[in-house]
Amino acid sequence: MSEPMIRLENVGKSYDGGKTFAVRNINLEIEKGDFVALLGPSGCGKSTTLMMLCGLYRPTEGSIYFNGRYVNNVMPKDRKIGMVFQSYALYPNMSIFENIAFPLRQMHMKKAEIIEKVQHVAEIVKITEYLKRMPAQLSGGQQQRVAMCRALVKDPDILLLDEPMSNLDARLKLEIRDEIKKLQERIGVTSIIVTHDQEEAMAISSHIAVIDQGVLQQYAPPDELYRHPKNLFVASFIGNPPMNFIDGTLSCSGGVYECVTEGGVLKIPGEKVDSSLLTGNHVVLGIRPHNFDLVGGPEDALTLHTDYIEHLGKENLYRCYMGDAKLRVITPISVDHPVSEALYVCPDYDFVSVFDKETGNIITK
Amino acid sequence: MKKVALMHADDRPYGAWKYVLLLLLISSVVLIPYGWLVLQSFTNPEGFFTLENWTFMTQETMIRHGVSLPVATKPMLNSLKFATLMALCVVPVTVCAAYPLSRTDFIGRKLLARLLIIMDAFPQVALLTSFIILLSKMHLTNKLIGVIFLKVAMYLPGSIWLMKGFFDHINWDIEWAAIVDGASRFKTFLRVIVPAAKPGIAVILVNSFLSGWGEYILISIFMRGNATTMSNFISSMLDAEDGKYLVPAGILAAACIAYIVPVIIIFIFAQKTLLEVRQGGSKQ
Amino acid sequence: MKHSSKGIDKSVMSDRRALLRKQAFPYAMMAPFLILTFIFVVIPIGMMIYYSFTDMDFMMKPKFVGLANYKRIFAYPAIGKILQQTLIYVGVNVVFSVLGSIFIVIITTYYLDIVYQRKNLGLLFRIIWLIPDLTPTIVFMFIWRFVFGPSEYGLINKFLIFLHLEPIDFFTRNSMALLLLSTCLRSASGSIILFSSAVSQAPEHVIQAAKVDGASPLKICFKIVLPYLKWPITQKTLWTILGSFCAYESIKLLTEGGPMGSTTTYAYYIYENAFKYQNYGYGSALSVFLVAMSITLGLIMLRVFQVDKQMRKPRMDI
Repeated sequence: MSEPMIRLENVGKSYDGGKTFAVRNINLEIEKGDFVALLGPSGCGKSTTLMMLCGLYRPTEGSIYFNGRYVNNVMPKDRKIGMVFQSYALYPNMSIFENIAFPLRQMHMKKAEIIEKVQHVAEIVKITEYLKRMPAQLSGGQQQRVAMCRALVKDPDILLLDEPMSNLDARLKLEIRDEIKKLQERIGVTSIIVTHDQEEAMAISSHIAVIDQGVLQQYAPPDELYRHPKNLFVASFIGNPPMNFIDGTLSCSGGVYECVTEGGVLKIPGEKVDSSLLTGNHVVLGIRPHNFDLVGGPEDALTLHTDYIEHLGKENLYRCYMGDAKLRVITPISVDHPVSEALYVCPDYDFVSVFDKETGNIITK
Repeated sequence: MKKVALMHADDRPYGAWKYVLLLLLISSVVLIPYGWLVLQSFTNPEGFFTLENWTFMTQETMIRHGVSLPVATKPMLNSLKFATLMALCVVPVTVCAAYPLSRTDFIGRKLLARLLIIMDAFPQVALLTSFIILLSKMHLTNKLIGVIFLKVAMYLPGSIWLMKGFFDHINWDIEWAAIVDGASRFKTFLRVIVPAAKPGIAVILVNSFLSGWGEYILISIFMRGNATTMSNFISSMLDAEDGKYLVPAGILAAACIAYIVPVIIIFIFAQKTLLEVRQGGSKQ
Repeated sequence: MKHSSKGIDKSVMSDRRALLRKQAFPYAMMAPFLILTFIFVVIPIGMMIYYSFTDMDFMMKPKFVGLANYKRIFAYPAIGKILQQTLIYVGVNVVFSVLGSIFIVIITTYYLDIVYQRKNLGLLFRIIWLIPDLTPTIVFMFIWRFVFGPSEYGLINKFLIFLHLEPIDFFTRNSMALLLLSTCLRSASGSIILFSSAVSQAPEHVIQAAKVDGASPLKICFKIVLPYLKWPITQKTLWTILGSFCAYESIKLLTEGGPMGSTTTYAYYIYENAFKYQNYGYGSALSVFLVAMSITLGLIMLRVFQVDKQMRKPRMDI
């Protein structure tokens, strides 16, 4: 088996001599050319993980390997990494050219070579016309590009991006997101991006590591994360509009699981459930708003009451409640169900996730 | 009300004059003495306008029979030299010491911070006796450099603490970026952090220069001669025994003004810097 | 696991070197400061303590005399008077300079700048009040000689003569009051910027909202603006206490401790003994008490300023 590009082994970071943990026990393998997103709410430890990868933080536990080389105590400059920071962190006292040339100057490269390299990378990112300006004279998007240039100019093995788009407005964000994605594919550099925006992570990356409270929750490609979230946290964090969660009680009869909920009884195909993972009979059903079919009657379906309807243009979003629980149901635009009447919906069982209420872990396959 | 609004094109509330008047009244405690000083410097004992008081700038001034003060340009230049040296010593030492205190981790960091505050509160006068003995043992008496060392050493704790505050506010991102880009901690400090801390350094520079420019007591204790600096020059116009003036009051007033003018010039050029918060305050 | 033991040894070694470098760099940067402080502060403190047990004088031939210097302090008949004068000097200075400074800042920064939107006028008066702090001490003190001095040049006595009144010799009759007036003014001037920037931190939209709610400017001042001054006032008060205890330069320049020792404070008494009488041993013993007081105040400041909290951990492990 060949060594992965990056391997984290039980990596943890604690403060005050082990009293508080920012990150604990992270195991992760990243292959060459992967574009990995570290995703999680703010303060979850994703930035700390990135800082350990770039060498600014030292792990207090575990080991990090780059290409099989133990790098825990290797200085950032010797790790062959490029990094883009949230605030871009351009040196305000240097011109754009000097900013991009700064890493090369630290390597004591020859002048002609520096100029050539800066020109080359500036052409790729399309900022050649700004090279003589100062950072303060550039817009946010342009500064972002310069920061990319500076990170890429020394041909890093790994590109680290710390919330690189959080300071941009919504439209520019999409544009830059595309550019980064294309650039990464073109250069083929292994990249890791930190973000709290699940949409961004889904769009840009080949693998996503969802982190919460310093613990790695799931590491998988985006579509698997969407279809098969490992636990309630991942399920609630991924997807927009978010997944619906319905409390229920599970009982087995003749190869079919019956789930009793406030809005009706659902029959879940037996081959989907891995009963060995079940601790009790209380479960949470996770169903995405898109995965409902409207049916005529209350048999084998959920009975919902519509609160109001959002017309989103390409589809309709029904805001419903079922007892105390609030649900979102998305229907094609052709459906025009009156608010006053009860709504009967049947989930698409291929896309239903069942979680154990006690552990929060998924029990469907 | 409407009339008032018409008279003032802007919509600022009317009635500020009461406060201006009150302020003028209070400020007269400052304005009148300074005004009187200026007036004195341009009048002769009979009360008429004259420029004669300013001749000390171009020729020697007699204070006693056979004793005269040199031309004032010499003490002016000495004061300038003293203040410049002071600033040149304080700024690099302060900046270099404040940086690790603010942005690196080392054993004894918190202890050093506490000691810094205690040292900043340390009374200069308590060390005068030791200073007198120390300088004489180091053969530094009557040398400007000795006084500068003393003054700088007493000045450093406060300025380091102030500078540390400026370093605390610099974004970590650019420091991280420089380290990742391959610069050493020292190079990062020199090429990235120091440029970013320029406003703070300017505050230290201007404050230490002014402190050196106005220094009187240490120079009067450790330097002999009547023209070492402007403060010495001015105090030489006063009889040490009974406090009587040895020169006409107008000349003394003029000398005082000559001593303030550079401060005013600095103030005009460094207004923004000087109006920054001076944390910790200055001891007398 | 995949590493030979040799590789691990190497990494441990480079670990140790990295840790060493992490310690060495800060101390290297602080070296000039530490050396200067050691020679010109730490050694003098040691000398002070040592000489306080000797009869060191200008002959520079110290002889050990035990506690004689300390006994002499308590036996000195005027020491009570000196301490009393010191307390008056410190107390008046603290109260009047802080209150005066607050008053001026409230009028300039709050009333003129914020309430009446006359920012230029506010700035002008603030600059006027900055002048005493910027003036070299010797000039500032001499100015008061020009105001209260004899009638040849003293402004007030000239005025009294103009009114056909007897001139007054302020310097013999009211020297303490004169000294307090001048030092209070200078000290008040020194905190204008500190207080002003604190007042201007009061959020303007909150003030506007309070105004809309019908609160009078005075009420807004007390409820919204003054709380922002709490911290600077503490700071300034502590520093003024300390500064006044240790002040001797202004006294030397204005009254030279006289007449008849009526403006001699403890710090000035040390200065006289050190410089004028060259009783180095006795002066050192006096200094020891002043240092003890300043360290006590310094410890209070550590608490009040929460110095440990201001030393946040650096966000980097290199």
